[in-house]
Amino acid sequence: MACFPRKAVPLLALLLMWPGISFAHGVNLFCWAQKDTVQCRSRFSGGRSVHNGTWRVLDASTGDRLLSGTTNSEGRFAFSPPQQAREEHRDLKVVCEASMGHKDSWLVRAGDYITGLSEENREAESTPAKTKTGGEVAAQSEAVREETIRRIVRQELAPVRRDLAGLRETGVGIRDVLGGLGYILGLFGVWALAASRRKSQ
Amino acid sequence: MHIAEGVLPLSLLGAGAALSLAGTALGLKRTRQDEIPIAAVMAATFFVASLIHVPLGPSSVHLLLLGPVGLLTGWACFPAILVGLLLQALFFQYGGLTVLGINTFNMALPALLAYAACGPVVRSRRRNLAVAGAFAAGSGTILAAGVLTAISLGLAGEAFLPAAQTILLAHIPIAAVEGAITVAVIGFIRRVKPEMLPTRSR
Repeated sequence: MACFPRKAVPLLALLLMWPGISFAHGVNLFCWAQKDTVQCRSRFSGGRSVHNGTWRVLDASTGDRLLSGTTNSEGRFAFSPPQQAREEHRDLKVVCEASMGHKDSWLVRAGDYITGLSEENREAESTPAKTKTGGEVAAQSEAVREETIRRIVRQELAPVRRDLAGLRETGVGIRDVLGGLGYILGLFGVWALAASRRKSQ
Repeated sequence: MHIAEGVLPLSLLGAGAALSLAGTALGLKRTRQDEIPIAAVMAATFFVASLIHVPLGPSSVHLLLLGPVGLLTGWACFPAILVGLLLQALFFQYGGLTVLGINTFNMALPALLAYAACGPVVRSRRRNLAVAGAFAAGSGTILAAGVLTAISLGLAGEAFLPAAQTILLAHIPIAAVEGAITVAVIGFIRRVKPEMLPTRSR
């Protein structure tokens, strides 16, 4: 036993000095609409950017590829949703892939990137009146005001949503590690118990 | 090295799951009762080793320690790696439950081959031979797992050669490190508890 610490020191030192030790893995993608473009940020869950990863924008309902490209050195990319998708109010599925099978996706709803979409819907739903009464005009201006507030709130909340998405990336904690080790102890304990019963029979 | 969910087609997931299930069943059957604690310790080692990773290119690689896992557990590497990957998927969100089978197979097969090919060598009385065997097991398992991952991605439609090239290039440094760690681990066990090393009876 006396030689154990001495032997373990180089190994421990190697592990501790290992560059870029971080406690997670896998890709996290976050997208938010800013005016007419959709901004996206991709990261490995340890916090490092996905440099030169590939991204694609798919039609969420049909799966057709609409746009594609590569991420910049900060793991960011932006795109302007195609005109057809805008006109047809399509939801977009953004997929970001770092090689070796690491990928994540994010759903951008039509209402997020088309300004005034809910207002248009409301107009389409209401019966087309040739002459507007005073009440209808008031209702319409109310709707416009509501849409403006909606847009402002959406823009103001974008950083908060980004931070919330960031919370998802906090990675692995000591609780996860200890929990996993506990499960291993339990599962192999069950195996040992079964093996001992088999032996005694 | 962990393939994420949604990358592979259903047929490949099924094939991976079937192969891993068969390997795990054989592992459970062929493992002696006194070998179960070693398998548990190696499963725990494999589970935790994945937290040490190094950024490389657009992706990142982490320690797998398939060499020590294979050499010390033999056929029990299938259940050990299956449990390790299952808990990594549940706790760390690595890989996923649907790809558990194929990921287990891609990592356990090289570990088992290392046990078969390098097992007798690391027990050798000649120290240099044992060191070479341990290094080959440590680095060879990583490269072999990389090739199997590239083949899986290739079967899923990703161009095989570029995928294999990226994966192998990314894993060359980690293969060297794993080789060195395996040499250190096996050297330590040879000195302290040589009966832990693979025997012919297994």
